[in-house]
Amino acid sequence: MAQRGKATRYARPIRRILPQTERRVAWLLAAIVATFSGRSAAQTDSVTLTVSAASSLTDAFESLSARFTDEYPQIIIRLNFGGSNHLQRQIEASAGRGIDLFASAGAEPMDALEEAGLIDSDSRVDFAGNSIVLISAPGNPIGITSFNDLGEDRVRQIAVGAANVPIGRYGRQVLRHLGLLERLRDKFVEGIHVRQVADYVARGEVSAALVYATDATELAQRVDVVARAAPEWHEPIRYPVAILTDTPHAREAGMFIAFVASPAGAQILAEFGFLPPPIGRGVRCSKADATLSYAQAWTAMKLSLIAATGALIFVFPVGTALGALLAKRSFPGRELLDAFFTLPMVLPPTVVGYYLILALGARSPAGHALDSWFGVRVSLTLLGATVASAVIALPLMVKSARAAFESVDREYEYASYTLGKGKIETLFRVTLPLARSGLMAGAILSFARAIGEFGATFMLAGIIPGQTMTMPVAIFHAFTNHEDRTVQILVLILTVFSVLVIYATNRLNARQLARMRNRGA
Amino acid sequence: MLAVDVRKTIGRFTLDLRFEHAEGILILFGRSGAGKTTTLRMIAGIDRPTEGEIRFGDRVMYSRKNRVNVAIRDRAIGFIFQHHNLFPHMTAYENVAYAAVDRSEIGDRLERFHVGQVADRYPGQLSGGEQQRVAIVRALVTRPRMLLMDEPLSAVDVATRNVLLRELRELQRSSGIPIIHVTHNVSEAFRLGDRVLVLEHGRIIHDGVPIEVFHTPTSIPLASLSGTENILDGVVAAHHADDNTTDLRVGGVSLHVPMCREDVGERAAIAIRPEDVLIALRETHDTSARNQLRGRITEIVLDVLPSIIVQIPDGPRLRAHVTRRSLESLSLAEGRDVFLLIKAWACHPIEADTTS
Repeated sequence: MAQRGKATRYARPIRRILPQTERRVAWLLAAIVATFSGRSAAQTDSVTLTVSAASSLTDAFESLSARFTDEYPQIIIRLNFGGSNHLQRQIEASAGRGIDLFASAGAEPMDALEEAGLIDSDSRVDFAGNSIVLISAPGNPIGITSFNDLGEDRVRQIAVGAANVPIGRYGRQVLRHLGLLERLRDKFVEGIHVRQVADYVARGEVSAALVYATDATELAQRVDVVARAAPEWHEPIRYPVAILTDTPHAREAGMFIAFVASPAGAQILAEFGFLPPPIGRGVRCSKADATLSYAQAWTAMKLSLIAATGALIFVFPVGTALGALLAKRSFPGRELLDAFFTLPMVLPPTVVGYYLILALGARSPAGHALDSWFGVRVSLTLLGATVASAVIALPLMVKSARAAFESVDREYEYASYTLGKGKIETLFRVTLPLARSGLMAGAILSFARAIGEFGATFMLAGIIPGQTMTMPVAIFHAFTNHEDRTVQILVLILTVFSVLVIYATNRLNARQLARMRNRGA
Repeated sequence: MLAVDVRKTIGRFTLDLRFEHAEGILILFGRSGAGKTTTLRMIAGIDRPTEGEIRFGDRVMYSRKNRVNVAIRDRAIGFIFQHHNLFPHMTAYENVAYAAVDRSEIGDRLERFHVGQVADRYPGQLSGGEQQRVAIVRALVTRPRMLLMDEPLSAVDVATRNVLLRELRELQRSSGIPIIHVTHNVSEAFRLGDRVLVLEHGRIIHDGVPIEVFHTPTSIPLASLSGTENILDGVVAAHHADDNTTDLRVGGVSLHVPMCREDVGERAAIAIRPEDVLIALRETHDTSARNQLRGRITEIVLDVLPSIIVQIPDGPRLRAHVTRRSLESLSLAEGRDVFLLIKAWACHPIEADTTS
């Protein structure tokens, strides 16, 4: 009875809000949604398993799960890929809820979860191994023949996993074993998972990368394998899989693990280039590389300041000029021009980043020209971070400048003309000083936006500690690294900074308004 | 010699003027929206006519036909704005220095206009009168050929306005620069102008000396424009030193007015506020009003402030404000004879220096 009452209570307002046709469409849509999301009687015994798996397992696991569902149609596998330590953090954050199985590249993420009691130790099984290879762009344009060639000058940048990502650790172990690690550190471009690392090479942004043999197989057309690391150069790469303790579907999860570990599963894995799991536990190598020290946080702050200042040096004059143009001159297409320059502010930053890569990436005409003629790289450099910040911040300056100039009464300019002064002199001696407060507010806002820029910067400039890892990127990096104290410090700095920015801009804008309200005569 | 022959259409409003001005102070007078400010701005080059021609001497400033439109900065015409005159981010001195060719004379000029001691203040710290004075100095420093003033005294208090009016007349006399002064204030127009152009709905409805315009309006629009004050023009008949009054003959009647500066036999003018005119049905001598004039009511104006227009035979026509109740209780009607009682002190000499 109460249920029906509730329905009619909602029906009346709905009837009032939606006219007839729309109502019919709404009911139709609701019915469709219900059909697809509801569980019909026939499906009451189907189970969905959510599996978090390392990104290097992407293609293999998609294939494994398809075959598994062929055999057991009532078990549906939902796959969630990512960097192993990122997945580990996800599980920790949700206390294991929502995930049924975890397959990581490397033992450490699994060990951490086991210590926290989030996985069922008895279910844990190593199901595959892998090897490390050195890859280059197709055709090996730089002519790398071995790991040692990485030290040559013609190899400018090497993509590796971030220090705490399994592939990052293995890669560094290989290089340390060969005595190359210290020398090559400055060339590192970090990826947050192995797919990203491989992608840098595939797109031609970097000369070489250390990835799993399985990734090289996947990207066969787009990368060349230049050398293989011997197994003893790094700790054994093992892929453990385990059931999460809190899963409601332990039985089905166990069935999946059994399949993966079975000969059928092993065969599928082998097709993708995986090795059989290594025997024994292997040596735990030091985690010295995994720390993002305070020194690096300090470096991140310096990089942020350099990039934001560089951006401001470009943005302030250009933004002011554009603002003046839009405010003072009326011409056809003026609002279109205004909209065009506002676009980077409205587009999602990663979209802007994408366009920037298209325009200035290593393979773009402009990027290629800059590199070959002037030796200037934009992508994966601090210059790139500056460019990304500048593009994102420019709209703010243009808008602020336009508003500031529009707030300066025209009559002052006419007065100046009647005194025999020309347009340029009037602009600089009358209009600009009177717009000053608004322009200052615009500059501060743009600077702040440049400091905080993450999306486009991350895409165009990547994560290169010491070179492009600005503060927001450093926070992301430290967060995935479990460097909580560093995260807190950077977050605090940026929060205080932002509050100061808001205060300053508000004061300046108020002053701009007040000055204009105070008529001269 | 400025020659203006222009038309301008703004929406449904059309401005159509033809006039010339060579020397002295020309007043552009009219209601708000009559087109006075637009005219001034077209002469300066701030606004552009729809068509026509503006010439200064033999130099063409604007000509639609020949596609000429000289930039504001090249017209050598000074402009005093109603508001937004001085640049707020510069001191008074710097404002003048901005325009000046020769910095050495700035101090002197400011002194001459009684703003020397406030030279280091910012416009926001100056009074309305001081601001306009500095603005005038600044405009003059560019040695303009003509000075255009757009209601510069409208934002200034009455006392300062009187002083400034006097100074403006002095300025024009001593510098010889022709001035065009826009105002909607009758006494300002009267006191300042050598010649008055009356604008209404974008057209000149009268061109003449101030007396003609205000004292004997030749048309109803003119009368309604200027009818807020009774401006009387007469000849000094005698001065009474013991009483501090003057006998002023206006037409065939004699008025007792406060002692004025002019000598016996010279022309002098006074203004009487309509609210200062009392109406009586009978002649009476037991009042302090020194002036009692008999006349006939020619018109009753039922306005927010009702008034009656009374024609004095062989004398001026006067307007008196009266309440509705009085209209009824006295049964005032057109054609009725009444007596107007006016105190001597209610007659305000126009040319004299009033500081209160």
